[in-house]
Amino acid sequence: MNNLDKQFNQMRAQLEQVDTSAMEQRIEQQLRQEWHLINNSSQSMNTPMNTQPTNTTSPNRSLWTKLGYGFGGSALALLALFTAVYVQPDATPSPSTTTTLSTTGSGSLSVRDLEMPSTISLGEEDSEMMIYDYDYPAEDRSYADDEGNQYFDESVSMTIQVKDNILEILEQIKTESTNLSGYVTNVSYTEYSGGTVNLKLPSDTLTVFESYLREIDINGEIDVTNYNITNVSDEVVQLDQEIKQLQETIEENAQTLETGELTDEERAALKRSNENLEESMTDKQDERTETVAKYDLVDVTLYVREEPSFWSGNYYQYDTSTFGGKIKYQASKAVNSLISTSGFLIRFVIWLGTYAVIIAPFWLVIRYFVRKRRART
Amino acid sequence: MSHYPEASAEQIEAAKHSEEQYIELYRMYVQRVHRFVLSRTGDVHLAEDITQETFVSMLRKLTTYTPTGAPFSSWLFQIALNHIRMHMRKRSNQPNIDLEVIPEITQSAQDHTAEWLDVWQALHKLNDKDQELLIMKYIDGMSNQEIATVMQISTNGCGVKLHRALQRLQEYL
Repeated sequence: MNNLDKQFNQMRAQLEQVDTSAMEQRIEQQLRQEWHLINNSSQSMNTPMNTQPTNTTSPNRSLWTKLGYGFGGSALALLALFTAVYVQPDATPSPSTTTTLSTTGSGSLSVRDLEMPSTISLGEEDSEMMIYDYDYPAEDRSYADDEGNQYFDESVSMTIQVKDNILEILEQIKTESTNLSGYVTNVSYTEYSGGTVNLKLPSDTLTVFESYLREIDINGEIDVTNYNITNVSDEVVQLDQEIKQLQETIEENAQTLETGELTDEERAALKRSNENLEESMTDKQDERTETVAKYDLVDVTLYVREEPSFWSGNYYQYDTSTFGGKIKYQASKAVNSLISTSGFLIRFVIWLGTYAVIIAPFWLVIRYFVRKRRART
Repeated sequence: MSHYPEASAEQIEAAKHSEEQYIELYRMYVQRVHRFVLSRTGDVHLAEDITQETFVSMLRKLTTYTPTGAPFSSWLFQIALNHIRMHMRKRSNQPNIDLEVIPEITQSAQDHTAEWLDVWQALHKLNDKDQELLIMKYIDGMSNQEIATVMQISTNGCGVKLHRALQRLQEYL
């Protein structure tokens, strides 16, 4: 045994000789008191000491733990609420005043309120809302109808009810009118409700168009609310007469220029007059073409109503004068409100879960170190 | 292997339910714990306080104790160590080992006072971990495995640390 071991043994021997009896008795009394204290408290709780919960925490610690969990949960919920409110998917596009029904094909349509119609007139070239450029038909087109050289100004108003979305229907109507050599002049609509379409169609295609409308109507019928026809042949006849007179005058002047004995001044004046007459005749001819084209087209005003959908939220379309309509109105209103709210609730729950998953690892690590520290003390 | 007897699992289980059995368990370990704490702190009054706190903590935590194969003293010494470290943290400096404050030791150490007191003084110049290792090894007679359980280190690591602690102690002697 080396010297160090010997010294340690001596130290131990000395320490073993220290009188600790007084200390031992004192501590024993303390322990007995402590035992009874613990035993009595466990008896009052009707649980024996050996079944007491091992992780007994002081009331203050328990309160702090609860407060901590409470604050943490509240902070998490507030964060998810804030995110759900301010981070929303673009569910509905913002209303736009631009309508882009173009000749080239389908364009994006915007939502507009029927209560505030904004009409678009053909010819407003300086407006952003001009929707259509129509190429007038050639002059040699045959406009003769069943009654000979008569021209009629027709206008008709019709109403249909469709099942499909109003935007899709308007697009189909535009295509159909183009196929029939007509064109759309005005559109106004409210999504999930209905709209009004003004278009011009050649009169001989009106029947075909009506057949098409019957196909898309949910009941297979059209409600014609107005039909006007005006014979405007006299205007065209008058223009023809004016053109004829001008033509005759121009021919006479030409003949006079060829054969007549005129001074240079008279010849020049007659030439100028003939040029003016030719210009006037051209204008009259253009006017005639335009008139014929215009009056040979039927003005169609089409009211398209979208069938009320229980889920779409346009519950105001139900007829509340009937009992069934009232029930549908209230139910659709409630369902729509729930869907609108649920969307927010779903977003809130998703964000809450996302934040909980992100924060959980940090919380577990902190809890591990806190428990480890408590175990040491 | 320690020089002192260890409580069996049955004794420990009985102490959980019986006051007398618990007091018997206390009497079995009180001197060892007091000796360990006194060796570590060098302060008689402090050693008594820490000893008391150790056994009160043992009373409160006995229900959580589950035999794992290691001696019961390892678990008990862990509690004592925690209390020692808590008290030492409150003190800004290591306590001066004043031999006159330990009347029991100096009174009885008539023949070998100079020798082992040198070791005692040198021991308290070491850092906390070295002191604890050497005290458990040479005062209480615990094995490297038992010390490793108390210190929560590996057995091999314990051997290495003991060797180094001894070397440092030799430097102070």
